[in-house]
Amino acid sequence: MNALLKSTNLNKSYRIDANNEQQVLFDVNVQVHRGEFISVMGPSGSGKSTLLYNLCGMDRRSSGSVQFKDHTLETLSEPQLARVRLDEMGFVFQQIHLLRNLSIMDNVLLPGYLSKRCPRRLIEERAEELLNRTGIASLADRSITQASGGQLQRVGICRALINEPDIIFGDEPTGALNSKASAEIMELLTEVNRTGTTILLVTHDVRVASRTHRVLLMKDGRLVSEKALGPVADGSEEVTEREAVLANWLQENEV
Amino acid sequence: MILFRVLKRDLRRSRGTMALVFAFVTLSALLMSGGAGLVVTLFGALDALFEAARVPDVVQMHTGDIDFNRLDRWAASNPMIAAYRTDEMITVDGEALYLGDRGVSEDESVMDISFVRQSETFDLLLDMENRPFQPQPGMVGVPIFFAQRDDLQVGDPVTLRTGELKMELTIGAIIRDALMNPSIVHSKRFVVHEDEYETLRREIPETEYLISFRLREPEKSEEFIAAYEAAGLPKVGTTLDKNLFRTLNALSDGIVAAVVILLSALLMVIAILCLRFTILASIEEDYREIGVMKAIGMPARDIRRIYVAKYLAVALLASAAGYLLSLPLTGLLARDITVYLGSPETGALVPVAAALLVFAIVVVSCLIILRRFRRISAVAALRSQGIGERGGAGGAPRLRRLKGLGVNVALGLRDVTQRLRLYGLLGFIFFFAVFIIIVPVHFYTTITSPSFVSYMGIGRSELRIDLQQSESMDERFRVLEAALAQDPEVSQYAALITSQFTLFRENGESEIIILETGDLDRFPLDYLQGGTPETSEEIALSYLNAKDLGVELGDTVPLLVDGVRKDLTVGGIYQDITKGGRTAKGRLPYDHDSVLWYTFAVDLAPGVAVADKSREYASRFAPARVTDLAGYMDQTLGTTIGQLQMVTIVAIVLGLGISVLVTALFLQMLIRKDAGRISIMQSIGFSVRHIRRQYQTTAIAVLALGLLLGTIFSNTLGEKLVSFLWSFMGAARIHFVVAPVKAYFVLPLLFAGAVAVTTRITMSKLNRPVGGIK
Repeated sequence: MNALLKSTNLNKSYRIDANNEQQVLFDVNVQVHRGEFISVMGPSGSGKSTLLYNLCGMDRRSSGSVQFKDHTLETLSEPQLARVRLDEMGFVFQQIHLLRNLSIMDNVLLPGYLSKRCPRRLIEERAEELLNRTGIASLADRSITQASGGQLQRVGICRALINEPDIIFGDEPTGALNSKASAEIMELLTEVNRTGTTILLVTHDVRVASRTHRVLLMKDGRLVSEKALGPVADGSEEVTEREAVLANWLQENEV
Repeated sequence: MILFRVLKRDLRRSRGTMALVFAFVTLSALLMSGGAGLVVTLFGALDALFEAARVPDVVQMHTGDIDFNRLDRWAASNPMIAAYRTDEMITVDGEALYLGDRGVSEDESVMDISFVRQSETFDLLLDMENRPFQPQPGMVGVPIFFAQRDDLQVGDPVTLRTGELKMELTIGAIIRDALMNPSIVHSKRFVVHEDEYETLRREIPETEYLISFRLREPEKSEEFIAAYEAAGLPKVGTTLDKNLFRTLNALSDGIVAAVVILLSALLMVIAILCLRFTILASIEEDYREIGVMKAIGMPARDIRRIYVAKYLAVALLASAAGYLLSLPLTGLLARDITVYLGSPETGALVPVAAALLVFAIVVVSCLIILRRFRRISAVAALRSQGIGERGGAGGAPRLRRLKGLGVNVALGLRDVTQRLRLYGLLGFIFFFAVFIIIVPVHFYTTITSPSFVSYMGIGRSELRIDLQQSESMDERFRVLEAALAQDPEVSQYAALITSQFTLFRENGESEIIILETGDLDRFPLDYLQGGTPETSEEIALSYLNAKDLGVELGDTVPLLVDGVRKDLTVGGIYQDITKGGRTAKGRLPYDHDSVLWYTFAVDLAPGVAVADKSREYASRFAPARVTDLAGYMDQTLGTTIGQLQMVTIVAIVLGLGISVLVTALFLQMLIRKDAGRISIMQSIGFSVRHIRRQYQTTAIAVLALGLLLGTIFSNTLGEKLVSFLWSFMGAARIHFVVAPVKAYFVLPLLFAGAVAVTTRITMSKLNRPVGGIK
């Protein structure tokens, strides 16, 4: 089976000054299959976020290749990359990054309107349905300053889903939330994944990672290990067990 | 040392803005110094010229015989007189005079040309070194007006051809004539040697006298004029005094100086607005640091001081640079002054003071803006995210409602409504730029349009025929009128007679006014108030006359009519910028001896060529002066139109330049400010092109607003401003004639193009990978 997203010998360095560069990714090879729910773990500065931004095309790799569906990302121009992100990818961030000057509903509608792949009516229906599904329909016309962190992250997820992307990238999507809101968001993402959307997220939270199918471990810019957990069955008893397994694995890898 | 780090970073961060502020302050100081320098040069040169020419305090022009004995006796007995003289002038018809070797006579010139001898005592005609010109036989001194117009040099030929006489002269000097220098004075004196003068006198019978007085107390000229009049001495002609000479000489350059100073004030406002924007932006960015500094106990005064120091330094350097640059500018602006009036020895004090004024205003504005520091609370600063953009989506329509616009255009437009205060600065500058362009453009269109005659106290006719003061004037008037009445190619004409009347002021003093009678209905005038006098009980006054006399419509003014004092009702007030703006019209019986000139306004039958008819009448009725309307206006307003054209071009360049600069600066700051928003949009799939379109939409929308307001204000306030400036010359209510294509299509297009290109170039900085979202 062909991978949905695949990196081959991905390297990334940043220029520090005229003579010095710092390499943050070293020959990373990742394969993400359709329908998977994957998390990337690792200590601070291990390069996990850099990996995410290089896989989604927001950052440009130094060498190596990233293949997403039939696109080779490094060959695409800036507008082409923007188009791919708009139509085929979704994003959820720790800081949520909603536009302050738009209402909650408008934030969700924005990528849909920009994409123009569907008529406005359809986008609006879909947005309403998404807000309903995530339980924030009553907030639609509010300003984003009038909602809690957990609610805002739901808005972020709705926005990520509006163009029915193949994959959602998450950069610590629960990082700024309390444990209750965090659990609810993971619940929501699990549900989104069950409907067929592939998810790749970066986290340092074992409880978050334990809900994903596969966990990748980054250290010093290298992919050092991975752990397959498989999908979570219905019911939460299993979760504590998965957390324990993961914690052990991390300890084995000296994290 | 945290202070200096803040300062250093601030300077690095706002390099562009500071450069712009520097440029604006420099320009403002440049223009302010230049304008002040111009004023100083103007009045210095004027004083020097008046001194060298020993200008008389009062001049009475007179046509006809003079009882010299009587005049001498009166002068000897009048204690006010320090010196007096009568000078004879030979009036030469323009047709007879050929300047240079172009072979073209002066028959179309509106100037009254006379030939004189150099005076020995006062009222001297000076050469370009301000020395009295003493012509050798065969030499002639040519007024600077003609020398400038035709680029005449010393050594060029001047030929006089009239009747049997053919006189070849050589230009011995270009003449500065303190009385008759400016182009708005329609009399010009040529100076020749005694020998040629005698020859001319034998051939040309028309003479005129200048009776000039130097007074012991020059400020009492009005009193003296009244006494002169009361004595019944020769006065068939205009009475002039030194103040009028000064005003006439200073007029056109004075207007240029006023415009330059006004422009400087405008630039200063822009500089201060930019400063405000920069200061607020940097305070916002340093909000936390300022909070920290306050929290650790640093007094607000100290924090403020570092900012003050920065702007003080910039303002000082810029003002100094402006002053230095103004030195060559003043030379350039004062070129006309130097040519017409001479170059005076002027001190640098006033221009320096002007530059210092700009500096002081900028610094004080900074201090006022920086007072905001006091209001920053340490706690609020540490806890908040900044003092800038507050709130959420309020005030703007939901994206969902903005259908059919495209997401980016919709976002751009929403942004304008959401951050109105922020965009206000940009809008204000666009507004200013549009205003300073459209007002001169409108005024230029107005002053060059034929309807401008309504500000010159005359009705609109195709031809004007002027018969000037001469002994046979009455006779020629009758002949000409008969000819016009019989000419089938003349569709209608009106005879107008201008003569002097004595008017009594409230305080019992009397003065002379010039009043036009005759067929006032044929070529009607546009009146400010009221209309043409209908009976001999009514009078119409020019705006300046009415203002001077303090009368309004319906008031009465007492005039001496047929030797009897008669109260006339003011039935109309009209605008007139000619003859010092002081004229009147009425249906009064006039005294043939006090007639100054006759004028015919003539319209031709359809299909008759104006130029041909003009030539025909000029030769048939020489020395009558025949001009078509365009020619008359061009000769009267030519200099002003030329200057206005320059002002207009400068305004266009300046306005567009300011718009481009400020747009670039503003967008740069905005991109920095909006960095977060931009990277969010890029991360969810907006391309650089999309984002650029948003900002382009915003900029164009703000520009459209500025254009709209600028145009509205130009047509209302601008009209009032121009009217106010011109009210000093006699036209208090100027209505703009608008060239719609130029003003409402070409100019906006020019602006939109400039702004769009600037946005495009400035936004090209966005062309880089996303990043920074974390």
